[in-house]
Amino acid sequence: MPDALPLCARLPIAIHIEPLLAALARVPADAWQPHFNTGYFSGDWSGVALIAPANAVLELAPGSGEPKPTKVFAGDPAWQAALNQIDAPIRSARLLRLGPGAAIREHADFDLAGPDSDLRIHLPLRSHEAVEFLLEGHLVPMRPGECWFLDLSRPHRVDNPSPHDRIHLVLDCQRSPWLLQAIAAGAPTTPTLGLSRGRRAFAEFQALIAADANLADALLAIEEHKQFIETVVALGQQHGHAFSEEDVQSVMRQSRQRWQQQWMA
Amino acid sequence: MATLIPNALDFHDWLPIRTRLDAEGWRIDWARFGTQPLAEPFFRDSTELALRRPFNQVFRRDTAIDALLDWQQRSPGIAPTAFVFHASRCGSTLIARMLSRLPGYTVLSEPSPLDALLRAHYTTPPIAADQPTLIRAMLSAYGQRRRGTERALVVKLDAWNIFELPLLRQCFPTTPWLFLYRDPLEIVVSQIRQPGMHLVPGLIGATPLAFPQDEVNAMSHPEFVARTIGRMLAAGLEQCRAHGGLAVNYDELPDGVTGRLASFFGLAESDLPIAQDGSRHNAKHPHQVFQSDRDSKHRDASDEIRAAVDQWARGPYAELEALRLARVL
Repeated sequence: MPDALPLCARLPIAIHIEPLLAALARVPADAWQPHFNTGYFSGDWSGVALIAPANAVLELAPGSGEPKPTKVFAGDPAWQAALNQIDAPIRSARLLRLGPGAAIREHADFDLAGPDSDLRIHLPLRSHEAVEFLLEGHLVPMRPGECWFLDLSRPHRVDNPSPHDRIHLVLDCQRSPWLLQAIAAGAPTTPTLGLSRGRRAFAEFQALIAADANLADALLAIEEHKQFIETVVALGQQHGHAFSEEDVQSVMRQSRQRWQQQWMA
Repeated sequence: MATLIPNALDFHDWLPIRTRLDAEGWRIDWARFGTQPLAEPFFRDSTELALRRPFNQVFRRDTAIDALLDWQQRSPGIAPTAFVFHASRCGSTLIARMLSRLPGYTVLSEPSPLDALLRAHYTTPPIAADQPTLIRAMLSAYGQRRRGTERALVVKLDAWNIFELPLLRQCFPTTPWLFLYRDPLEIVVSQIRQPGMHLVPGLIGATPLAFPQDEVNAMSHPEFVARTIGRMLAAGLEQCRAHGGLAVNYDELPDGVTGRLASFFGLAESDLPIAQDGSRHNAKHPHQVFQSDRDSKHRDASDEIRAAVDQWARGPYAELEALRLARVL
């Protein structure tokens, strides 16, 4: 049985970023199309297909057909040069752009689950340190010039509060021995995943509650979930710890999961 | 996250809910119980109730196990006043239910964090040197006066903990303890109808109660159950002889709790009617009125079960009875 895939891994390959940025600059503005999954984001979330399944309903959507290069891809050899570094059948390649102030809500891509599913690879081209890619609540510190495998069948969300575009080249690859080996080889040197701003602020708030018996007593008395979460967020604001209801809900969800996991040995 | 929390945490109305070993070492999960009494049949039910509070889903604590020692130093709890060991399906939950009604009593019913600590050395031998200190500190945490009225701490252990009695005895040499048992045919029939955790090979982890898997595979199911129950009765007998435990038969319940055992549990005259009231309902299913199912258990026993019980469990039962009657009569 093959080893389970990690949550994510930075592959031990260097991407030559300059030719890709130059190619990106040559992509016509009207090639960018809004992402098909309109229910899951706010702000500008759009993309350009470079390689798309022949039978995909929309160029940016998944499909099972033969992968076909698009005009944009064929018009610039820099894309093929980058993809040559990945020794796995590439089923789709897309440029995905999250505009300033845009956010993708938490979701899981179930088409990437299962032992034979495609593996999704991210090559960040443009980003900003304020951008937060959260995978199961952990901050994935992806930087331009790197190449990452991410298990996006698990819950993830992206937030771009910066004034800049965040653009990644996103590949869906069939599993190949090379790719699985690159993921395994990259795991030990993958940077530690961090906490989001909201979760860091929440951790500070938890320390405050641990030290303040009156606040803790007031919160202990609230039995109703919605009222509890609203009170916690408001108290956090009041004490200078900014986090969202979503942050509190994700802490509660993980806490329940951790407790239940002990029965699933 | 842990580094943000100052050392001197107040655990006044918090209780350990889990002992576990992870990459950082032995750890304790804590939940805040407030003044919530441990009124449910088992400690794990009280824990689930506490964890339903939103507060515990967000603020429950996860500390290194040493936090127990620090907390004991700052706030020593009541030492255990009685231990209840048993052979399973013998009425120990009934005893716990009768006592937990009393405002002065904290009754811990099979707390898994204590079980995990009592058996930790089977899988992690280096912890043996620290076990007595940690066990005392854990019970000190359980013995905090959360409601202000507590004066007794009665701990009912898991059935398989009879093998860890010497360790617990080492921690609390003066705390009285009893071993509760009953006619093994009734235990075996009950365990065949609805197996407890210790009757599912491998489920509870390392324990001297377990037989090697290849031996289990060679046994019929009635033989496996009868030998497991026989092994517990034999251990109870041996420990009673070696460590001065009180042998108590299920047949003495519930009246014995407020009779022969009243002083063992430290019951006051005014406690007796309250405790007696707690015996009217089925201990594990409190909404049902208690009914003895002795006759149906005896009817259910096949010849094979009877033979297995006679061969593997009848002997230690008879010896326990002799030990008990020598003291009662």
